[in-house]
Amino acid sequence: MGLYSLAVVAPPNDPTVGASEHASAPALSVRGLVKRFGKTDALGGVELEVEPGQLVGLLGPNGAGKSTLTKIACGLVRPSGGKVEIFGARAGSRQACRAIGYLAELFRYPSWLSADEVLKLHQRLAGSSGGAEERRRLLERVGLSAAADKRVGAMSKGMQQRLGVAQALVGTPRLLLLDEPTSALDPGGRRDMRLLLEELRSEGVAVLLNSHLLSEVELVCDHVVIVDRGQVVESGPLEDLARPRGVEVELEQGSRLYEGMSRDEVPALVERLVAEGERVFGVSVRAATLEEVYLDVVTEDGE
Amino acid sequence: MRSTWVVFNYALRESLRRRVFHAGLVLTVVFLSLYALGCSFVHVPESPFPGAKVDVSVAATILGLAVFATYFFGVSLAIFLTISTVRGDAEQGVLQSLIVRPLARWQFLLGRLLAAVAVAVVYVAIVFTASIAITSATLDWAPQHALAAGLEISAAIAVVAVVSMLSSVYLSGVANGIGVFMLFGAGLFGGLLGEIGDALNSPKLEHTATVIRYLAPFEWLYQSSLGRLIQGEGGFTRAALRLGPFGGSINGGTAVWLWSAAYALVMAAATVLAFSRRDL
Ligand SMILES: Nc1ncnc2c1ncn2[C@@H]1O[C@H](COP(=O)(O)OP(=O)(O)OP(=O)(O)O)[C@@H](O)[C@H]1O
Ligand SMILES: [Mg+2]
Repeated sequence: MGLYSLAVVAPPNDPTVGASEHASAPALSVRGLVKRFGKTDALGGVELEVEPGQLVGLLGPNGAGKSTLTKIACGLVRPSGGKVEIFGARAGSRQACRAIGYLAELFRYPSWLSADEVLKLHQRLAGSSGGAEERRRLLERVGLSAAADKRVGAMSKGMQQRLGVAQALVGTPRLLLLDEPTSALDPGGRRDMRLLLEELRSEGVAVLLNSHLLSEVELVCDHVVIVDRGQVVESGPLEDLARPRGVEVELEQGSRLYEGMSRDEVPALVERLVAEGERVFGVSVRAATLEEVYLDVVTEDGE
Repeated sequence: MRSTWVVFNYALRESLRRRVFHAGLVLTVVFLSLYALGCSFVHVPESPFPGAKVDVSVAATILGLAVFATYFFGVSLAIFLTISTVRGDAEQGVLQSLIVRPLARWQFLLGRLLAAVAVAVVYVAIVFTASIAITSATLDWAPQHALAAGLEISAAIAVVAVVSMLSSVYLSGVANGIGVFMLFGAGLFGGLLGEIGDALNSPKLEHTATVIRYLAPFEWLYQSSLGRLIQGEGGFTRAALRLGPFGGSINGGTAVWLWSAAYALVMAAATVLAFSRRDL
């Protein structure tokens, strides 16, 4: 259970938006997004917004429509209805593509290219003038400096995922769309990823992070959107979602949870307990963990 | 155009690093060696008719077989280089990261198509030139319109590449390869029907062959390239020769070029349209 007394504070929106487009436009704006694959309704009217400098976690069970949403935002999938804009430009347009970095859920780079060559190819396609310096910096950022000349075919899955993250960062994107970027990473890699995301946020980059790792989302995201069967079922700043659950008091017989009690009621509670002759060893205000919130709003299969 | 160029370069390097390309090169060397060996064994008889050049018909028939082999290898190469362009690569997860970059989908297709055609055409140029050189050295004869013949084989291969790219939007790798090879085979079958129709004097068969030529203009180009081999030879040789093994030599003239260009353009436009509507 997480203690939300140390709530994650969402930073103010960074106004460092490219001068070229609407300076006020959100990094990602999704309005009434609908996607049907034949008879399957993958998305049924999704609303979502990501501001520059905001790190938004996109959660939801398998098949909820997270990847579909991400793919529509990068122009890989055509929406059946609704509107998706990146910094005011239509998703999939060249202008929108210039602003994004994307790492797909399932991806592969040609096995015959080296890590450095993959980045070089993407630099060319993205029109990045960063050159060898940018490639060196990106590989270092994802911990692949030593593998710059290693062929993709000879890399482990985790190394390829690190390379994928570096690839997504080519050309300094202002919106990052990451579809389960840490699924193959070791614990160290996950921590590095977290630090990297925090760094990017401080640089004003907007991130939509699609993940099943709630603890990870809880640690880095300042905003969470939960989708289920193509609908947004919960969204908001992390600290708002973390509804108070009550007060936990450590007594001689063990700990006792006073459900629904708020922080303001703690002094009175302690006084009462002491008056009743209890010995109080500790008191903590509990909030629902993200996992509890998630399980609350997401309907289990068949329910 | 810069994006197309980047994709072209990438696709070119990819083709050259493919195993299938290296295997193809080895097979080609084997083929050319066997061809040289075969040519050196050919006994060129004296012509029974004064003035008729039987030796030309022998040499041209043999070179016609080499042209078929060149065409077949070139088509195989073009198919292998294009079968996975869209669906195959999308299923592998290779395509998506490239497509989300700021380039139009048609630029991606064009870059890949040009690379595949470039590789196949260079390949054809080398094998065709080598076949002519071997024929000339062993049988002392070379076609007068070799360049036109070579261009027509190359164009035939380019048309196949466009078709293969179109069907790659719908079919994944292996299925697409099988499909395009079947179409290629249907073209050859049409050529064979034409030959039989000609031999039996059956207008129905010949008509069917003509329809197939329009539906599969790569076959028409191939037959026309065979015609180029004997273009300019004496009347008797030309009349007596029907180069094979499947399609017979014909004179395609400019019609074959116009029709093939229109066909390829329509196919290319259909590919761009289909790809632009495809979810990846
Ligand atoms: N190309 C497609 N064709 C048909 N149906 C599809 C296609 N892509 C996705 N779907 C369907 O759309 C729905 C949403 O899929 P999506 O991949 O977006 O889910 P997800 O939330 O990313 O799931 P996961 O957590 O498993 O990655 C699912 O019902 C899926 O079967
Ligand atoms: Mg997914």
